[in-house]
Amino acid sequence: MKPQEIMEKLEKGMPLSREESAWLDAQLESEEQNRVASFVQGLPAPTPSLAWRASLEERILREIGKKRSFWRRFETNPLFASSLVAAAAAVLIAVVWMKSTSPEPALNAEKIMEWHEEAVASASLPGDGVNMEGFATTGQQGKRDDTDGLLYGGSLHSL
Amino acid sequence: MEIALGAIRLSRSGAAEPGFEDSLVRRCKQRDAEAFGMLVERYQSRVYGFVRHMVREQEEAEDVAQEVFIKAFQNIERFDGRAAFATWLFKIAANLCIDRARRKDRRPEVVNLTYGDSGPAEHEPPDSKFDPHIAAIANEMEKEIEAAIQSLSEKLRSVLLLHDLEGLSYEEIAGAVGVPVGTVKSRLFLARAHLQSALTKYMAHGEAL
Repeated sequence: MKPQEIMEKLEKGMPLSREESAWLDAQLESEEQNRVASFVQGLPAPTPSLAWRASLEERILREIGKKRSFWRRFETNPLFASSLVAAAAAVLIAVVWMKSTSPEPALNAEKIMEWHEEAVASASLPGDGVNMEGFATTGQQGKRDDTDGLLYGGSLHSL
Repeated sequence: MEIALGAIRLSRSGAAEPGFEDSLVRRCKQRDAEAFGMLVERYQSRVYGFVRHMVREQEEAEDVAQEVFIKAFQNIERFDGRAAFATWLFKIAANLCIDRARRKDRRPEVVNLTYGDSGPAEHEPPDSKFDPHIAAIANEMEKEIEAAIQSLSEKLRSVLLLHDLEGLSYEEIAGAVGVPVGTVKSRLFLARAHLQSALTKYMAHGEAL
């Protein structure tokens, strides 16, 4: 186990064997290594200035302010607040209008039948529209056609 | 904002009360600016010192050091407490310094290592009574040490500073820079070996690496 070979392994970032790792641990505690460590420890510690600290505090306060800025703008900026309210109102009006003009959401077979019978009844109107006695109203069965069976689930045998 | 209050409490009590830092972190997660100010007070010198040694230009270093705390404040909710707060903070610092260096595409000088007896030192130490454990270092030596540290790659420099300057353990450094403990040890050894080669004249007589 040659120190130079271990050094090359360290420089190349290659893994060390158990023995080589033990050598490394011992070297880290050697006099030369500790002397260098003491040189580093003896360096004067630069301290930040008051101006640096004040600038940092300002930046931190700005960070805190970013979170609160939305609600502060709402309170302090009338134009911003009114714009928000107007936008919200517009959305609300649009939703209400769409609901009021939307067609019947539920269509079922009963409803379709009712419409069909009304349509059939309207076809029985007298030509001149004057004598309404025979006018077929909703609920009366119109004269059934043989093809009605097909329309309403019947079979071809009826034909 | 009474940020100084926290500093006074820390200095009077000496070492931080147990769980005091945990309570500060919890308050910071509630966007408590005063609590964050106390954390800044506690770590500003260490973070600033680390960044100053990692980034050469002072103005840039000051900007990066501020960015460390801003990032910490922005991401405090992500700190889960599994590692020490200092480890998490230095992780941010190391990553920001390395990112800044990559953007600038700095190419440090390579100091050739020779393993073996390099012979006697060329110069006497400036002060025969010099004790490296004392805070005051001769100006010339200080500049050479700084220059030698700056000549290291960011990977080696960050490990050297986190261990020898900031006193983080191998495991804490591994968590901060995101490498295995073995890699931390390798990088630390190489960093010190590089410095030893660059500072041969300040080493005592005898074998070099």
